[in-house]
Amino acid sequence: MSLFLSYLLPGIPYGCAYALMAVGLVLTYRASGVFNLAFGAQAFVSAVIFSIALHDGWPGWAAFVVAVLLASPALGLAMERLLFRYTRAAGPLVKLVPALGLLIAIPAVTQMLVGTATRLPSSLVLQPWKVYFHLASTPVSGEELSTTVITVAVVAAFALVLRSSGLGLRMRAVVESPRMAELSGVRADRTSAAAWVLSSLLAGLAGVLLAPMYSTVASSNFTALLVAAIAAAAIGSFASLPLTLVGAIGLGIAQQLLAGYLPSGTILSSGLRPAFPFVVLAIALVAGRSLRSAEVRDPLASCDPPVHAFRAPARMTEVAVGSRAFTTLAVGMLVATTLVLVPGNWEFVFTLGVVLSIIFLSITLLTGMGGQISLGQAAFAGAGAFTAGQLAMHSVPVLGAILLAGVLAAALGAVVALPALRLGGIAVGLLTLSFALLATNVLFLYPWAGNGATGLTVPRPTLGPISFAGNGAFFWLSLVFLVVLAGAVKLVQWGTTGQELAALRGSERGSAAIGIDVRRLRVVAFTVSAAIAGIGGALYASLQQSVSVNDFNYQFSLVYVVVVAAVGVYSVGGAIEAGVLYAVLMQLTSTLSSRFSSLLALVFAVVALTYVRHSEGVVAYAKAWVLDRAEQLTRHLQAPPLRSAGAPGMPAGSGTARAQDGHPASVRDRADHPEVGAGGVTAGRSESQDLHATPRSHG
Amino acid sequence: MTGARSDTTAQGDVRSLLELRGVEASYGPYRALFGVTFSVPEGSAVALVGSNGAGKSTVARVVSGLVRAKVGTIRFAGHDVTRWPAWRIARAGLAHAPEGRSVFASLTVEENLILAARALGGRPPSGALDRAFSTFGQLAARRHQLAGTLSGGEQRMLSLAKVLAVPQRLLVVDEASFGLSPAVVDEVFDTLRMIRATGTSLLVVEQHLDRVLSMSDRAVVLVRGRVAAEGTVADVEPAIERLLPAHPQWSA
Repeated sequence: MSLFLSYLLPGIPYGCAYALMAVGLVLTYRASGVFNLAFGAQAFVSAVIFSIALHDGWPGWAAFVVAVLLASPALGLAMERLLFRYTRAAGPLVKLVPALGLLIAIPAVTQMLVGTATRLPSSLVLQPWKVYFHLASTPVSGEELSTTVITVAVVAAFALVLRSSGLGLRMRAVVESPRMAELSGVRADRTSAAAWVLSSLLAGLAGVLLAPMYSTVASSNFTALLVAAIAAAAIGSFASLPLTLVGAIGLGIAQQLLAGYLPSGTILSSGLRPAFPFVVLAIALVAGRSLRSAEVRDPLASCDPPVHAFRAPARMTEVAVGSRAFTTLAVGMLVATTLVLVPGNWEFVFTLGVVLSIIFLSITLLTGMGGQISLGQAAFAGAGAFTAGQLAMHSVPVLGAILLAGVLAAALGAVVALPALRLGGIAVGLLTLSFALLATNVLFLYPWAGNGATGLTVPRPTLGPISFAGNGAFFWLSLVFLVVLAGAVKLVQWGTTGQELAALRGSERGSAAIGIDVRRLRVVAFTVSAAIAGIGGALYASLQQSVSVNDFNYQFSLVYVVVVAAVGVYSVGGAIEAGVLYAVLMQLTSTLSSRFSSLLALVFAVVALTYVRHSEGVVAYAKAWVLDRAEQLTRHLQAPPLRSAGAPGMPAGSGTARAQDGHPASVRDRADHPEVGAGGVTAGRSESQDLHATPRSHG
Repeated sequence: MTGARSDTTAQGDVRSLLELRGVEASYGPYRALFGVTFSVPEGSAVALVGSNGAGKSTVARVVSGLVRAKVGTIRFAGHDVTRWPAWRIARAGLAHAPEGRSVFASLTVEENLILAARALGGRPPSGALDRAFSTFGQLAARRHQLAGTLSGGEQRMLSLAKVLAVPQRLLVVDEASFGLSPAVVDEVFDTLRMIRATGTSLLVVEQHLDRVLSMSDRAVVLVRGRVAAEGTVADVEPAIERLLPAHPQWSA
């Protein structure tokens, strides 16, 4: 019994720290619909500030005020004001990508500012390791005691404030419809800002309380912590604070019990303890009713300007031909320089770009086309890589092993898709994330899979007399794979399945209503996407000639999504641009000192923050911008001034009149360039297209 | 039918509760309103009519601050509210029951009322909920039910009950009878009359012409984002006959 208690009691402070984070997550989720994955990063920042301040000789209370009461809420407020208040009416992907970007960017910036020196944690309490008393002959330290007491007090205080001030009620109203809340006299902006400030306060507190539980202050500790917090929040259905608290403490205790009772020294014991929260999260997501039916739309969303279509607008013939010629030339030059001009290591870099493009294609298919969020693509790629490695060890030809890797990854994709069928939006992302964490922490460590940190060797393939051992030859091989797979994805996009996926992205219920088998479609999307990722992963392994679990760490899954979304997730071209760009930038930043090693991730993370405004991706946006300008210039050069579209009193026909001129321009073109086709109407007024001339009804 | 103030004259009158002057609005590149000018005199009921897509809902949204007027001014209760955020206009006494679902589906019936009562009237006035529930018996029976589970008619009643709970100066109703059965439509119009009797002025966007005109003092006809006619119901009726295509199912 006392053995049991000696395992159980130390779990309570862990659980309390989970609870602080979980309550903060629930708070922002309830108030803004954003699943703030950057929460762990916020906790990390507070822990670093606290630790630096104490080591600089600040008194404890001053360090606490700065780190927890000032810095963390300020960070949260900035995040809400600058980013997340614009995502209220947006879909789950638009809400998720900036949060992922922050999760990557915040530790990167912190590292650049304060350096990579190992930082020892400082405790909030004066004598953290002093044993105050024994509970059932288990020593209780100051650290454990203070964490537990503070957590219970703070969570109780939050629950009380939310209930009695009506803030909780206002938050629930604002997240359903900020506009309708405003009609009821609620200040929606202030309400969601308050929620972000309060939840960030919890993040900071959790960071400072938790830091001493680890030997150093490292951002990865806090990210791992975040998953436990998400699991606890899922137990509370992302709504109930008491259930979240109970779930978090239960989780902390269960982890300690597992650590105590499982046979030590096996992968099961060393792996299951960190993997446990993911298992719990998966079960809570699938079994709970938490995030399943979250398709409540803001009834007043039509107050916003209509979003423009992601499909590229039809271009003028001259511009379309010109841009195609430019693309062909650019690709041709890139291939030619890779094979002829560049030094050997750049040959490798471009080949890596091609291989990454293949992995990124899996995200284009699943997320861009089907709207399904996956945070586990690196795990599918890893599964492919290790399959190829194992098969090659058993003397299967490498080329065949690469194809079989795709088959196995596909099967894995289908298995992951099955429990995700009842879930939607962000919940699918969390489930795939928990799969990725399970893969990195447990599955890939087994000798029959990834063989732990040692990894596997994967030779370059041969095909009959042709050997792909040289970098140049391997470049051709991966290019063939890319062309075939990109062509396949394009065919899917143009075909019936592509249209069904587009419908699924728009609305799952709507798709079901027009007779699409949504479940089957999602399984197909996950399976095909995992197959592509698997083949990409296998090629990656063969390119590197050795592969280990570190190549497919779960964090890569997050980075992949951020990179592809930032560049352009809706087109096949976007995946290829993202792959090449990522590989090239990785090479360029590889010579930087370790302090700036995360500069690359930071670049893409910052770009991801612009996702709120340009959800088609920054590169896709820039391309459209350039083509718009080119069209405008062409029209200017070749055409006499356009005739007046309508008399000043009757601008109603202007929109359609221009379309009949044979130059259908995109909506963006008209909005940005009132002077085009302005005719006799004063410029300020003619910039707008008459609503009544379009079939769109805004009543 | 016509109230004591029905003789109140044209726009610009000092007793105008709400006044729009040259209001233009658009959704991104799509323009919806082209210089809309009209007013709602204090204590009156004004019908805002027009075909689908004429801009009626946009007028309602511009008035309540949901959509910004690009050009023009909006005055409400003596203030220039053109640049005010929606919550501030709401607290100044302008209630807007939007088209379609106009209650918080994820809150209970009671929470819907408490939210409005707290935000608009400070602490919930003790009588507010009782007032609303005594008028709407069927809502009282469902006070702890999620508003999203109510029928369309009950949801509409709940959105009007908010105005009864905390009396407002002007109620803007957008398509009050949209998607409701004839019996429920009668109930909605009875409720609107009741709300007006408490001293709240009305601006009613409606497709049932006969019903809305019979309870209004004045009417504004909107065609393609412009005011085509405005005046007392009797003055405007010929213009309505002329401007709006006949819809036999409405003149029942």
